Amino acid sequence: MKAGGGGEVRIEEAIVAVVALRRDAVAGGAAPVFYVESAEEQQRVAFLLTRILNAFAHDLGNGTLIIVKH
Amino acid sequence: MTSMGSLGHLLPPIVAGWVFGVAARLLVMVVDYRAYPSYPAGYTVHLGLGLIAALIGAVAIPALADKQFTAVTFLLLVATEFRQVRDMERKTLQGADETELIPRGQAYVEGIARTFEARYFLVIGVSALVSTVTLLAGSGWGVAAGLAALAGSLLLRQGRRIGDYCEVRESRLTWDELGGLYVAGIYMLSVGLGEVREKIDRWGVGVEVVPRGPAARVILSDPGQRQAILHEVSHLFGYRFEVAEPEYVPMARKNLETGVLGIYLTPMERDVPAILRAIRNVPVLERTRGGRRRQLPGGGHG
Repeated sequence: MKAGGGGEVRIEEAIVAVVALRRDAVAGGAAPVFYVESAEEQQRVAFLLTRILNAFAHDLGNGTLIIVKH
Repeated sequence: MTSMGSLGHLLPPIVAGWVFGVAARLLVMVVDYRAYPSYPAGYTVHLGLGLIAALIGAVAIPALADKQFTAVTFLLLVATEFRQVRDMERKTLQGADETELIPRGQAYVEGIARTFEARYFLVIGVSALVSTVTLLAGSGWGVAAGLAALAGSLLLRQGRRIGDYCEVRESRLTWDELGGLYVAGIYMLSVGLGEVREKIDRWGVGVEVVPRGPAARVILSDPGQRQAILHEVSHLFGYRFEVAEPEYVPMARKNLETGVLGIYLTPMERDVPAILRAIRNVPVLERTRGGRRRQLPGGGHG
């Protein structure tokens, strides 16, 4: 998403990674899944992934963060 | 020209027209807070073109009076060349946009380019008017017409602004339990990282733009108009947004129910009253006004 005005938005939505606390909340799919032990580790890993991939982290509320390229 | 004698009596109208035309160009060449065209090169280019445009306007009617029809034809030919000013400005701005993180956007670029083009036809018009009046009624009336035309140009220079159509006020940034960011109750984006949320709390500014009436709602709905707002504010106050730091991207989203626009900003310089003033001063893009909407009930703001 480039500078949110709307006219400039390019749609390239894709989940590029998943950072999960619970193994039963995620299954398969095209994006790599990173399992973590704690909420702190989850934040750390997700932070690194977003900065590396130039992507957003979104909280799904079930112990899973998805890294999304907008 | 045929002889020195006819040139002699044509000189005052031409000179008067030229002077007032150039004065009109200078008057509408605002170096305002949007810093365009404040580059010295841009200034020189537009002063040079202004001199030419004013001369064309000033010479046209006296040449006609002197039955110099070939000359007039050539002048009209040259006048049409000023359409290229729009292309020139458009290309310059598009080029600049490519390297901007928060670009002006196509709509705003087009609006600025068209304004520049229009200003040359304004100059030609002022010059032609002054030279005609001087020719027909003498220098005194010519000067009077010139002053009136300059006053008119000043009025035209001042286009409509966002502040003419909308209330602009600060609005708190709020979060939901999953890290959803809201401005004035409008959902902006989901921020999954705690660290980033803290920084947004520190740096972020929320602005609420409330339309007064249906015409204003149409203006705020236009994506190009929103982009123009975001660009202006980012250009003036800086932004934290950076490559690989996507959450700080300035954003504008509307409330579907009310048409209120929520704006999320991360300025480097956190001067909220000045930011609000800047948003009120953003020009309303021509293409969002007029047209079909005027015929709809309640669209009378246009």
